[in-house]
Amino acid sequence: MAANELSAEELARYAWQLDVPGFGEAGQRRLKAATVLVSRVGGLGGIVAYQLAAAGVGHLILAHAGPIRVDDLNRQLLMTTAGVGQSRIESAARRLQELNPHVRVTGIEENINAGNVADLVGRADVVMDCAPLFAERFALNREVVRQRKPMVEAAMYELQAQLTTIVPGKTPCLACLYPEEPPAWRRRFPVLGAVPGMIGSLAALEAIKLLAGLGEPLLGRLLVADLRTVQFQTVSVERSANCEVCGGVPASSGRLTHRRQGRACATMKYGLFPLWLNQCNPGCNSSRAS
Amino acid sequence: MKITVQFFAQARLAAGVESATLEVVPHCTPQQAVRAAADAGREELRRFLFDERGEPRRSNLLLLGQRRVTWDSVQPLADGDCLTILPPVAGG
Repeated sequence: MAANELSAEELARYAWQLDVPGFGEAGQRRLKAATVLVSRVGGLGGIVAYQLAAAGVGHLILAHAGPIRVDDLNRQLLMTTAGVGQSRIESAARRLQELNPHVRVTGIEENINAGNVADLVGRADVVMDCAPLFAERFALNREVVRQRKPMVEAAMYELQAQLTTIVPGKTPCLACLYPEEPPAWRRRFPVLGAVPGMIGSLAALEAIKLLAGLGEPLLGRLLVADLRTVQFQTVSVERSANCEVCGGVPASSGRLTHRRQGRACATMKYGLFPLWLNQCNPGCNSSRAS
Repeated sequence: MKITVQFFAQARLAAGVESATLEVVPHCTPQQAVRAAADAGREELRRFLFDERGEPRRSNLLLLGQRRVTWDSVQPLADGDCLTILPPVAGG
């Protein structure tokens, strides 16, 4: 069986999502072929990883240092009470494999840092930024811009959440939005677990949409949610011409050079590296979108 | 003219309210409106929005309606506009 072909068990497992219009077996194979890096698997990243595993992303790379703490358990749903004091990564990997043994899980017992970011981003097709510290978020941002990889940015505070998707050259990067390290951010902040539950699921959906070429990800849009009043708004955000990180990245034309079954190939739609070249029409000989 | 300033995340904590309706000079800029909100609000809000030199903390995003505007935007606000102060938040 070819590497990304779906077994009978997988076809049964994913049956409900194979029926989603615009997704189908082609979309499923794209997920199976993909590698996603999840930076931290806490409240936000844990939900992201869980949803991506459930959806059938082929390879998840999880980066998170340290043991489980009891105050993780209001929101970190991949952890268990019995696991307090033990490796977070081991608990996360075990729970994901229990859910979906078809997913390859690579656990890295480190937080993203200057020493590992290039390698880890280099291995991924999409990066999920779920980190609590801006030093990590900015390091990831610089690296995804350098390597031209898409990144989903998810964040939360109290009963509010934010979400956007970065495609270098097309959208603002994190530094376009936040040019300075915020002085008021603290590692520990008020939050109810259902908040990362919600925004983590939406973040996972962003990755699935990018990988499968489905729907419209939040490119150039920032979702702002106030769950205290259940109000959602999406705001337009643009690249900053003076951005120190992505200012030198040429704008991607997003020119569509071919279509498949009457729809733009996912690669062309989002200007991503042609992961699914072999899924396009036999006549497709497209290289990376300009 | 009257505008509404909405506070999110830590800005809401600093302001002590979710939003405030302010009387501002006609055609004021977003930054001028934020300064008016700081003047009308608690000292904690002022310190959150501006540094010791009185310069804006540019990590706070400003939204005018459904669009992000920069701190240096010269676009004049109109009567009834809603300006949102959105501090950066992260994961965890």
